[in-house]
Amino acid sequence: MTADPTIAERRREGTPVLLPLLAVAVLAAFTASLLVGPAAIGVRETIDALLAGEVETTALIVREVRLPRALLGLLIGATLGLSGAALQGFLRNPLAEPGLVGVSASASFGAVLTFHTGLAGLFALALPLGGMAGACIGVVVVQALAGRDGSPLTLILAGIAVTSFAAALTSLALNLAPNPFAALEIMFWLMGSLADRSFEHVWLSAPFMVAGWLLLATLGRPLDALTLGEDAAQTLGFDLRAVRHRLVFGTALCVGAATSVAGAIGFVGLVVPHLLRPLVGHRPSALLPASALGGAVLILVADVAVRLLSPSRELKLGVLTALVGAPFFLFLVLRLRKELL
Amino acid sequence: MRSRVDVGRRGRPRSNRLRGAVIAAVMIAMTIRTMPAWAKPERIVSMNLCTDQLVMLLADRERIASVSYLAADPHASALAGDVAGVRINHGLAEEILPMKPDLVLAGAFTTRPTVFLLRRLGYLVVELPVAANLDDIRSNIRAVARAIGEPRRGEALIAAFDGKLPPQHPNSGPRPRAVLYWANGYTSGKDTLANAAVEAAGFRTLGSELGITGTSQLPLETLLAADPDVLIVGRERDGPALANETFRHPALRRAFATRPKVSVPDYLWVCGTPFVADAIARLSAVREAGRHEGRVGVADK
Repeated sequence: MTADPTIAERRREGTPVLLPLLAVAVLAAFTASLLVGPAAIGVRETIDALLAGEVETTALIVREVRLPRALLGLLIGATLGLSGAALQGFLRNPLAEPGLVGVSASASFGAVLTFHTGLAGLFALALPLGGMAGACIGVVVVQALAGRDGSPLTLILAGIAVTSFAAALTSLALNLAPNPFAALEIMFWLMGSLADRSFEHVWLSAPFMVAGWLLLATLGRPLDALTLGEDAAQTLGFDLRAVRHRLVFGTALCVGAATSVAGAIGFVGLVVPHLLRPLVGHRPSALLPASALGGAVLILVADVAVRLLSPSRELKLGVLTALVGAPFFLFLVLRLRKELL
Repeated sequence: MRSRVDVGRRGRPRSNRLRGAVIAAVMIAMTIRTMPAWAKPERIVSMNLCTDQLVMLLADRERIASVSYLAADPHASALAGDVAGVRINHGLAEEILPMKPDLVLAGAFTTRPTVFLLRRLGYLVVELPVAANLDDIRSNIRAVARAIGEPRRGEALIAAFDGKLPPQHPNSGPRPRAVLYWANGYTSGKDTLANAAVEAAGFRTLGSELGITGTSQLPLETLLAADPDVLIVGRERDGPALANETFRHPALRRAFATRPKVSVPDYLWVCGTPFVADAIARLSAVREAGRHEGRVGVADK
């Protein structure tokens, strides 16, 4: 544990201020998410609707439409931020993102299959359940492909293989869609959205997301050790195989559940850890909670923006995060290049 | 509210009165939002282009609380001109809940999360399947008519629809071969409304002959090699779209320079509404014209 003094030093740098700040931002974004929507409801009415027991339209909208939506935004944002930070830490690769381990693509395919077979039309949870089944199969295949060793490279390759195959199957399902309306619905779903999700979705996905978080939260110290290199980490007593298992299963649990209810939402898991890394002194263990909060802020804000920009015909959330995320990422790359020169 | 009075009036022994009242209260609580079948819904919301048009054909305007934004799109909706004054929705729960609908009509494939959310909150949602043939049109009209409590109007609309269809004489005259050709080079085969309409107009379709089910891409080569008698295209949409390039292909233009090329506006048959009969009548007229000129039937050996 020779690295400990420096870590302790770094801890003093930014995190004590950063985490509470981010938590306040999450709270603000969550509140904004409750206040914004096509139905004009004032701040006072929203609070009344949340607290009072009346069953009126306003209360119905706030409690059954906006609250689950805001909760899912919070949960999914935290999931994407946390898993992105964990993956970038483990692979020591800034391009890693939650979709890398193949769960997003396989969850998407599982969900699309329920559209295709018509199951999605029968009951509300068919779609997310299909997504979770897809995610399970995806993670088993990735683990089998990645082999016994804890090497990051084999994990990346296995993840890419599963992602490409699942994406191809999704395209095939789209290609063979029973009618143009179903194809359109599948495409819209794939773009990612939180519109009109209900508490059913929250109750279904939250336990898996929280379980995934708990697994990923244990990775702080091994990830810190990994910054010294694989060999050094192993010498420090960390079993990289076990670390990888926890990483993959943790990511699969939370990202699989997130994708199952909201579709694929890109760039959050990629950009948020980048943005926050310098602020936590480049320490993976400190980045995990910060990135989780940051992801939640970003998704909640994006979901508010989606509703403000086009109140009636909603932009898809995944489209917006990619639209904002890609130029921002470009900016990061340019800045990085300047630093290197 | 009438049901409470009715239940209360029944001459039950006193001991049972209370229980009756409780049951009645529970029933009323349950039926406030899931309207009973015998009551006519008065605030109907439709979230789907096809149910929009059917409900506008069947229900009095004051009972329609809202239709979808697509109903006002003149390319997609045959009743776009009649929408003025009706509120427009985009299939979002937040728009629909304040309207306090007693009936929500939706399509079987669109706005899934919203449908489930509304059901979960106790609203009565009736879903309509996608019409794949003329019988589906009749059953969809019947379903909407029943849901809104206007079964007689439904039967009248079906009768009017059937009356507009050309008489079917299975063995009268040649059945020229038509090909449906949409933007992006798609064609429709079995189990599609457009295909059923073309066949009802007295054509054979290339889609059916090739064994295509649903809508799928048709290579231009296959189309040209099959040498169909009539080309039926969707109306070109405004605005630039790569999709429209398929209609401008020189090979296609030369092949159909002398053969009839018919365009049927989308709004006539994108949905299973009685307007499909107009599309059929239009196609049927093309077939008749071709027969008299001795042109269309030539390839029918």
